[in-house]
Amino acid sequence: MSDFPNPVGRVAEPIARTVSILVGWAILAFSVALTVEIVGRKLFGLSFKGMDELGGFVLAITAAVGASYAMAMRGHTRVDVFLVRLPRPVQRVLNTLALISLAGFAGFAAWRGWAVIDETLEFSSSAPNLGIPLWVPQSVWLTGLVLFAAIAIAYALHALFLLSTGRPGIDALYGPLSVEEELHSELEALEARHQEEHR
Amino acid sequence: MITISAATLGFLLLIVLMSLGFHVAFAMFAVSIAGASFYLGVPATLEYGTQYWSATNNSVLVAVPLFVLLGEFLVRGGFTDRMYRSLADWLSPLPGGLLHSNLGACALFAAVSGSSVATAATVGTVALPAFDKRGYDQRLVLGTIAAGATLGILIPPSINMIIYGAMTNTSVGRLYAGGIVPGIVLTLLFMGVVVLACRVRPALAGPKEAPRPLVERLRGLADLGPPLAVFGLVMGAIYGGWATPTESAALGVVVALGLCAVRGRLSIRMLHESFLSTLSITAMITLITAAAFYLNFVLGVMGVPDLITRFVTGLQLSQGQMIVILTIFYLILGCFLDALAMVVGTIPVVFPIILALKIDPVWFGIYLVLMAELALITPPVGMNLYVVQGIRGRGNIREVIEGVLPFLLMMLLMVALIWFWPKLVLALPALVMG
Repeated sequence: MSDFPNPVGRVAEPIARTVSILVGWAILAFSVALTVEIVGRKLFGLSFKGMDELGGFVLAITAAVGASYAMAMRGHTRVDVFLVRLPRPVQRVLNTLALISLAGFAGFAAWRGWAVIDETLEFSSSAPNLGIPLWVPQSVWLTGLVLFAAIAIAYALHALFLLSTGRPGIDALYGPLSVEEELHSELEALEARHQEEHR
Repeated sequence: MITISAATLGFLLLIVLMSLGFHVAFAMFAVSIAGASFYLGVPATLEYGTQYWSATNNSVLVAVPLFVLLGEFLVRGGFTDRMYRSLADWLSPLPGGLLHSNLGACALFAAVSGSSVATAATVGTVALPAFDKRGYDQRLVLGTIAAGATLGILIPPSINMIIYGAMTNTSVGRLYAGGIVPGIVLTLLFMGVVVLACRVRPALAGPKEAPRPLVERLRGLADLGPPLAVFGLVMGAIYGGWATPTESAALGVVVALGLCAVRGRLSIRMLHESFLSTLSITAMITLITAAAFYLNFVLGVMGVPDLITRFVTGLQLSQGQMIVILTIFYLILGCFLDALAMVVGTIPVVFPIILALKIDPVWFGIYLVLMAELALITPPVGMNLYVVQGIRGRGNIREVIEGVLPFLLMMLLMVALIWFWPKLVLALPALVMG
């Protein structure tokens, strides 16, 4: 990602990417484990309780860590149909406000997520079937939320800095992802597949 | 106690925040928090962390990243690209020729990839150059791709249905079974439009072409095998009764991974790229879904479902009148909202009405997915319109919009069909799941 245009993103993206890839491996491992469980249950009547719980943890962690990566890539969904028709100065303000709001939301989620772990520790709760203490998956989940909040806050501060100093770039760096940009990445992937096909 | 006008005000606030370009998830969160602190007191909002954890610690929703990953493997393994060529061989003898390959390829590709943008981009890129020299009507070519790419959310495995199922406690297996027949009928209706248009005005289609030799066409059939096998395995596992949708998705991931390995497409880089797409897409979906769960919770505590139910019962509307009103409502929302945001944002308010009027939740799920499909191609925000126009890179988007109009009408016809003949949706779930 040498052409990553956002100076803050250049720092944030590799961190979110690394953690996300690790979680990706966990999803794959979960798929394999679940497949083994289905085959074991079908063929040998062996049943392993607790895959449901594991699945829930996998999703919670995927959602939280993925949110940080999607944040770094500014993928989170926005409606841009009216926004792009407003005057430029209004767009700059609205884009900054949207980021500050999302940062506030992410910060609130991380703060209240912390309280969830506090409560878990207080009651020493654990998953009924798996038997593992709940704070284990919850702390990975919280790590994702904190990362999400940190990136959102950094982006919001950067946008605020650009806005207050009258520098350009807010709309390009922090506006909604346009269809052209989304399409561009889709076409790049297609091109890569074709090259592989002809190799 | 909250009044119906205060609830309406909240809904309008939600729409205004979204329209101003605030993130969809934030808009839902802000409205819920505002409602909760006003009616339940600020301390109630501090429970947000627990709500957030339990919304995403969800063993039904974990099917979402698994199906996304499965699609990533099939797309990055090159299986879906080959599918198009093979379908073109078999469908082009119909009146309208290659246009049917677009529809067929879109339906299959979208079903396995689950992404409407990826479908429109891939089929568009492969198909558009092929049409350039052949003298087909541009609008019809563009329309088949943009409309065809929406079929994927109706044909299982559909991510929208998992989310609807999780939010309303409706069986995802039943929803999947419910989507199959309407998915096939809608594909046939789309093809019917093309046949009809090209019968009436043969100039719309290009000249007939000699088919490739039979041997080659038969060999090409093998390219349909892998995606169909994965699809069959996933569906078979669910309806054979030995796997939940989540488990069958995991099975599909492992098989797709194996297929990529056999074709020599497996590499660490490919895996990591698939992971990143999966994380990113899942996170975008769950951020909105978790916010909608919270909205659902807050509205529930505030007694809004009861309020709406009493209000709607007071109106003495029939089921049919309500569906007409909802269809107009969703058509308008779909003109400017993202399809998923539209579905999850309205479930908390609309679902109680559905229950109050005793409309079948599986039927309504399929109806809602049809409305989401419409949202993908209604201007000005129909995502697919812009994707297809983007690949084409010339002319005016008006041609794409004109091209999808006949297909838009077919979707509305489909809504009417499932209304007058609910068995189209409900017969298959009853048959396979009792």
